[in-house]
Amino acid sequence: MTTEPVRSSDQLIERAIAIASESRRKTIAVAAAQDVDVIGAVSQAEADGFLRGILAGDKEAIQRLAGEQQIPIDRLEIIDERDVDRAAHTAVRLASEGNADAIMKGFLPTSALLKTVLDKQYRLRGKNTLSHCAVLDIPGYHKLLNFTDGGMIVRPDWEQKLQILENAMSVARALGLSPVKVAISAAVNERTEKVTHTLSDVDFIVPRASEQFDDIRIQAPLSFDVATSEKAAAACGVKGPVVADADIFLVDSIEECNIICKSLIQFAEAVFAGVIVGARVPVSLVSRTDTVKNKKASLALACVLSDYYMRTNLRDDGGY
Amino acid sequence: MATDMVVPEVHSFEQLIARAKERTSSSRPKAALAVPSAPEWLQAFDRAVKEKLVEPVVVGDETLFRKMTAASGIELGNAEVIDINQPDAAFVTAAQIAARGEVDLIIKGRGSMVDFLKLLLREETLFKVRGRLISHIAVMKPERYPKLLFLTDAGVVPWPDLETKLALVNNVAGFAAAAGVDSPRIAMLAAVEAIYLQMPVTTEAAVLAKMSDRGQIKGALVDGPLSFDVAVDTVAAYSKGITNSEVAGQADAMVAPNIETAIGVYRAMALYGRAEVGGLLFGGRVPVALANRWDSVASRFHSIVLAVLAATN
Repeated sequence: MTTEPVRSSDQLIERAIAIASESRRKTIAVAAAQDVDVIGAVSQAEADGFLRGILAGDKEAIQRLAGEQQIPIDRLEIIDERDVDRAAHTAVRLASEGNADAIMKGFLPTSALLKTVLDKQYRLRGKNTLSHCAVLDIPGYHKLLNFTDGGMIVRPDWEQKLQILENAMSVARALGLSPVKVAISAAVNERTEKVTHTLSDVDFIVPRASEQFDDIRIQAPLSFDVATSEKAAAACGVKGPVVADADIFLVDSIEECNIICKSLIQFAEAVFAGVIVGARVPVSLVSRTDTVKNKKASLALACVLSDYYMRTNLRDDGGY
Repeated sequence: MATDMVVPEVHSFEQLIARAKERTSSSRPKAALAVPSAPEWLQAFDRAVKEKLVEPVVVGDETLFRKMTAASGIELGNAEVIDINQPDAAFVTAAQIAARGEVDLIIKGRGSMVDFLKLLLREETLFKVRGRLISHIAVMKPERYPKLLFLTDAGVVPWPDLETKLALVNNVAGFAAAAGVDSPRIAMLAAVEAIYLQMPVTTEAAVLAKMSDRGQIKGALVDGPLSFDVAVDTVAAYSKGITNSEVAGQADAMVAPNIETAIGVYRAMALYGRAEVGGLLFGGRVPVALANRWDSVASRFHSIVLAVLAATN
């Protein structure tokens, strides 16, 4: 299989299709699948040829929703389970027993699904906290940029940030990136007591990450513009291995990540692929406001990531 | 769906420029460029002078200034120059003459924002107005949004507390009105729309929204917590069930929960959102036009226009 790095959302989808044709389609188990956007996304990815879907949920509702929107579901397996909580357990059990490669959120709160994913009986917990990666394809930037964490931890301390980084590193490696260039975000470009997190970023995270990962180039602190733009870096006089070339943008608060990403999706036509990382299988979620392309890219990312877990035995060893 | 949006009469930088020209047709504000450095600032300043928006004053090293203008072929020849070759002293002098009413706005030339603020806020400058917050306000016109977006605070306050957020709201409402956007719809940005007790950003946003409901915030409609997409996209607002908000889907202004967020959005829009931008400090004795170090001449000219609008209100 090709090991060229994935640099765009189109390449991400192509990679998922290549994995499906060179080994096998990945299977995604949907928890409480009675959600029209989820059914549509899975059906589309199935038609695109990179995914097999198992829908655990209210069969009658699933069929009705699909019928109303004329979504083809005859090739998707449905496990009838009306109770939302039990549907979540069904989907998670499929992954736990090796019958699904990834889990997808349907019509239930994210927190309810994640609680089930972390249920010890399923042995899907990794050693790290769960975190969200938002992989953005921003027109005008020459590669994908992984913003993390904009979904799980409100204000991570430095140890949590290191775990969030480790989770994001697995995504970067799954995308075939080497070296992986990591910028730790700040409002300033130098370590200063006035911005306290720059102290722990520089003193604690950078040395530990450098020691832990052979393939990392990490720089802190870097503002978004300097991390992604030659022009900005030159004007600000900042040099270094990550400047204007970041693969991962590790941020300091859930708000920072979420809001910057959404501004790029809203006004810069960025394509977005999101995934929750940290368990032994990827957990995928799409929202109603995602475009068709975003949903497809998110499912492709889950496939590429689960393939990486499989190839590197992380799925069994519980590395992540 | 975007047709549902309330678009104020003033919704572009062209209109802001036209408005500034109207205000300055009879008497022009004096603008002090403190410590000239980037040629882009000189060009933007030169344009503002030529378009009769400001009377130029330069505070800095006169020899250096003359050399720069000669090299770049910029006129600015009639500018009054206060010759101070030490940059810190020049900033302090600019703040002092502004506090004395001798100039109406400042343009911040070279140097870091943090150092500049420290000098500006020194007791002896009398630049700070007692009881008023000085905050940074960015104005953006993303190509894909039909109106201007005011964003705060990308320059001064790292993590505003609730009281400071109220001051940020009042400042951005005051400046928006000066720019021609009355009663702006202000979104308190968050990662979510629901209120979670473990997310202080959401509880603080809700307090300000309720204060606005109760008429305790004048000259603005405030709602929150709102995520970015819900704030600017009526479809997103509708699909997240936020249907009875005056702000959701059509925000004129945004208060970010922290400086990293505001800076990230401001610069992301300038770099990747094909947005026209400008920025200023508001709330001191006089407004201060500011720029990112890599900003174009056009963006810097916008910043001067914003400061003119604030100074002439």
